[in-house]
Amino acid sequence: MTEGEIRSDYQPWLISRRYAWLLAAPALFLLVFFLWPLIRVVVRGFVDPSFGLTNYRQILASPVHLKVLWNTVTTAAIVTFLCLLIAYPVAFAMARAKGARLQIMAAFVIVPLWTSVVIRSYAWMVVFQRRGVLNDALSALGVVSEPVRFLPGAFALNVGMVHIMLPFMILPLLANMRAIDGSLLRVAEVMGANPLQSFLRVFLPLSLPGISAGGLLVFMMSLGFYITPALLGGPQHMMAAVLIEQQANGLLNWGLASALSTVLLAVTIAIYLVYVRVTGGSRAASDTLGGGERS
Amino acid sequence: MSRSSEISRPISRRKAVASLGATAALSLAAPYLARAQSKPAQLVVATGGGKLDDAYKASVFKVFTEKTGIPIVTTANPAAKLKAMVEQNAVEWDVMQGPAEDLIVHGRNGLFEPIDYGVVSKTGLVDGAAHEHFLLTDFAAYHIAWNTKNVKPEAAPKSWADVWAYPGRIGIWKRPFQTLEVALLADGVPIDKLYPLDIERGLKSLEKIKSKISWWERGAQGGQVFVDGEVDVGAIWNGRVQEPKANGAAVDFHFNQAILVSDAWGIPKGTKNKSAAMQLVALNMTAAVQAEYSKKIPYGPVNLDALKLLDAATLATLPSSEENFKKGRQLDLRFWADNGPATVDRFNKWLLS
Repeated sequence: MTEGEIRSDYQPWLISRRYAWLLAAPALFLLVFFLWPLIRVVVRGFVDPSFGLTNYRQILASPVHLKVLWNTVTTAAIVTFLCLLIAYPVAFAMARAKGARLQIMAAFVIVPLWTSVVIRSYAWMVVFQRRGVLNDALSALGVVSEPVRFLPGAFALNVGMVHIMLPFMILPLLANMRAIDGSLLRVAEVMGANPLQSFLRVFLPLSLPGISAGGLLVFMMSLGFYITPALLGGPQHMMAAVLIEQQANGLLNWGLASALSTVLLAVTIAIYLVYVRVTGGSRAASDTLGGGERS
Repeated sequence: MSRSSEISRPISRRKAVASLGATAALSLAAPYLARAQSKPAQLVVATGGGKLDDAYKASVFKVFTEKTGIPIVTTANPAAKLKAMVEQNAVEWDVMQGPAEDLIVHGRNGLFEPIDYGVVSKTGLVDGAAHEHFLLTDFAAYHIAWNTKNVKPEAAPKSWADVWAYPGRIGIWKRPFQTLEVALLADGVPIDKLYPLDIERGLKSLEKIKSKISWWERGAQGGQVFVDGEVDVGAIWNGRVQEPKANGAAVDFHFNQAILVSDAWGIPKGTKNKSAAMQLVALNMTAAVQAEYSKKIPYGPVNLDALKLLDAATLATLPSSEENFKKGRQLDLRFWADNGPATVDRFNKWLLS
């Protein structure tokens, strides 16, 4: 890791104490409409249908619940990794682009966010189906003689989820990379580093905050995915949100649904805490907000 | 499932006054309307949305508003909201429509008012339509279907056993309800001895075709996979393929060995407009309204008198016409209400194995 003074002009954006009261309204909003319901969900997991650990025992006793939770974590991890592989070069190119070129690239990243996840998941079904675009292209090229069965399956699911999650990886990376001082790379060059060395030893370490911020965002959002795995994934890809929906809305077993939600929440918080520990507390927030420098 | 909800439009005062006048006149003419203590400004009905909503609007809602002057707005019907509203004693819905196998459970959980059979007439209703807390309102069918481009006419499946034996992709709903029923029929269980379901035998039957199954999750998706030819043969509800077939899509189906499933209506416990809601439910069970509904959407009436009001062409499309009714059998609501949660868990376990 590169430590020490890299840039002197970076000031973390801190709210002045004088204006702290402005946060009272959003804080109250979050308290009433987010924190309080969340607390009720957690409490319900312990009291419905009876006080105690009944629901948690049921989760532990059932191979279904554990397997689904495991699926959820591994799917989220795979999607995060694939997103990083694709997003990194894209963000790298964007960080160097200017003017119209940058605007066009930014549009390609951001415009998909305007379409709902449901529509995009259905669109991928159209691409992957037996007589879909992809199979038509493959058979026209003579690559396959029989249509490939993509649906439902891991490949279709990963492509669909990566497509939806990519902007959330690209944007934090971009914010981070644009703040990396280009003169450092020139210094490395002057001092005899070849391009690979200067990338691996200067740029990559400096971009780590972007990687971890984007990774965290994508991973956590992927944990809660519902419709995409339901439409594109096979039965073995059932994710926690599907199970929670079945219990909450189908069987009205809110105690078990609450307990499952609490477990998912606990996993998310645990991962966040690990992240904070690894990257160093206060930077976590500023990185996610698009800071990203090590000051 | 996810459906957009309608935006309720506040009615203008002039309209409200006008409809009040109309009701006053009507209540003189129709004694049963005079029972309503105070006329609600509107009734809120939670429905599955889409074509179902359109059919209700063109049949029962239209007649109700004409008769009473009470406008009806519809909204989405997630069961979780029903439970939350009743628990918090803040009930916004006056009537809820949903799958009967769900409503029977909500009724047992105390989420519905009892149906007042002094107001709702059982005349003409098929056996098993009238329950303490809800009423079946129609019959749909979970039936055999196939894509006519993928499947040659002579290879079209006649029974579930044929579906299972088909060397191609089989589309089935990724839920145990109805899917286990047809799996057992495919395995040779006689249709009149289906219940109580032998869950393990049903799963074994599904296991035999596991590699051929293309699961569908949502009704709209299910209809699409048959129309597009993503699957060759399988199971789907008639409401999803009837119209595409009529419009020339490459899909066909029949009612042989179909599982008949029903929508049901219940009145959420604690609604402030209970008496008006009861009248709406009563109106919905009448033969004339049921017949009108079945003309708009291919779901058959539960009031058998309605069948007499329909022409042969319409009857042929309905799962509960005299002829089609004999080909399949009704889903056993009580079985699913008793065994639902355990079976869902077992089914999920099998899916993941």
